[in-house]
Amino acid sequence: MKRDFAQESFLKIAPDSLEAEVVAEGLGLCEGPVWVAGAEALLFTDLAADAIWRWRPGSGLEAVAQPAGRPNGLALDHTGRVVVAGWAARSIWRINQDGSHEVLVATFHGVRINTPNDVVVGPDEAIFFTDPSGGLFNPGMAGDDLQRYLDFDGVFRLAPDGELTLLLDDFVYPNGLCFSPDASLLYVDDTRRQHVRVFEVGPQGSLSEGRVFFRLVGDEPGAADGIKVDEEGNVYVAGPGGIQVCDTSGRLLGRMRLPGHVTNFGWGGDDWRWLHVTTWSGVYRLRLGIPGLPTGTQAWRT
Amino acid sequence: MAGDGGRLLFSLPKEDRILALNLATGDIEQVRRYTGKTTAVGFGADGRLYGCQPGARRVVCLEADGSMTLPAERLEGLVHNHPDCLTCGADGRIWFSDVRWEGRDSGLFPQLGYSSVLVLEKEGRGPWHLRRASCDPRIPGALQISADGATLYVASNPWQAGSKSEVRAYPVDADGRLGEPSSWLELATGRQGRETVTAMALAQGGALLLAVSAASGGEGALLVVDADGTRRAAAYVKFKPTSLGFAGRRLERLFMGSEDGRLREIHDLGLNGWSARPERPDADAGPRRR
Repeated sequence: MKRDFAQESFLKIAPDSLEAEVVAEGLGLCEGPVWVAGAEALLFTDLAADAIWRWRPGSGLEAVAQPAGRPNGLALDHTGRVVVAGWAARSIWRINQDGSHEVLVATFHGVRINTPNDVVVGPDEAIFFTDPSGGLFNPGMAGDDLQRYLDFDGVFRLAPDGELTLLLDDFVYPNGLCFSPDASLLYVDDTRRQHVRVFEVGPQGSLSEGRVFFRLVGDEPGAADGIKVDEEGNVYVAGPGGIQVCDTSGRLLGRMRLPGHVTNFGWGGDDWRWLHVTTWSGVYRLRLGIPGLPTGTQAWRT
Repeated sequence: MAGDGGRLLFSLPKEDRILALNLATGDIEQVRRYTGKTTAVGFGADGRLYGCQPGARRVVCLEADGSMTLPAERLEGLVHNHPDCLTCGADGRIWFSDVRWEGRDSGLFPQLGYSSVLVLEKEGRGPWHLRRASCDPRIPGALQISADGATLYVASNPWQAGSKSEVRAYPVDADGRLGEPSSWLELATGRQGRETVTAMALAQGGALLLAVSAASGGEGALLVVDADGTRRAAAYVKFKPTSLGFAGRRLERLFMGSEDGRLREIHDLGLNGWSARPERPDADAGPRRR
């Protein structure tokens, strides 16, 4: 697999032997990959098919939910329940242990939110999500009400008690978001501005003013989208040409060139070194040199 | 543009808004924002406002409660092209020109390989259904259904350079199927280049009003043409018209929007407009013009 812009240290992450294996192909716009440890399964969304898929090595694909309100990002909470950025459903909803679906939030001060894009669960079990309005105007991605009501594309925090707080309202298109390994920082990227901003996380999930942390490079197809960190704090972001990786100072370490238009990715496998990558047409996996952060019931364990 | 009793609604897609001109006071107010860059609008026979969203590749309904719904999303399972203009029939059908944008196939949903007239229709209170209506190779532009629903007038799209600029008349049968079109009106190529129809409106009595723009330069015209193709009147203007619409309680006032961003009223034509929308009491009409 091709790499470029590579620093010498990038070999630790993406060795020469790195190859992208096909997990699933011939699908629609895939997103939200999240590994379910214990079940040894990958969950991801397919906006075109309006589905949440489960993939197990050796078993293939099966639908977890279909139709699914054209979902986007996925996360696991601390009990392993699936939290969904319900894009066309214009809500954050959850798949409970008994399989039922529960809407966690759909309005802000009584007004319908936009189209939640990505979601992450913090160490305090609060749910953080991005809420750009772009999903309302995407061809083929319609919901029951296409009207935009909010005047901003926000980043929100949904507390465990159900309180919804607006954290940021000055993004043009907030998309991917993730915490640093110690949860002291929150990274959020902006698809239109093609950059990543970083914020210090304070009490009750409050955020500092933030700063531009990294500007994506390249003019190939792709835009700032999914974002994750590995256990050393290096930041990976989907963007032009594939996945761009920078260190904790925001210095570009290298770029992994992947087939197709990369949307998101997430670590998994027994040792959390398999990176599952979703694209506009399918899913790949790469075996990287540095593990990612565990998810679900294994997340936030010191 | 669309008449709404005592108001004229007009869309500003670049500003993502729909404004309303109060005919009695001359005041302008914003009636809708975040319209999804809605362009052409029109009231259907059900009294609801429909609009074209070419960028989002759909025709939407801008509901009275402020929401926005999608009558039908797919054409035979596929995302159709870019709605350009629409016209609403008294039978409830919504006809629209669906244009393929050349060089724009890099998205997730490939465009259909053709431009055509599509129609939204439904049986009674059933779901909306989308159907391809025209199958000829000419790219459709502005269009207007006749009051009796028996003829659909379709203008050549200004984007289709090199082809004859004309308005075709399609016969429409009781099932809403289009027959073979005839050339109803040909437009000239003058000193400012090829003339094309950018908007249409229908007058009571069946005359068609055509806003015409030249390919280059800043001039245009308003043509009034009887149903048999006879040109009844022509007014030449020093701007490029982009939209036409009747408003007022009896649709007695005619307005024209233009490329220079102005809204003008056209006087002394002595015509009242036709709309598929049922008449309703209008509390906002204000004093009638005498």
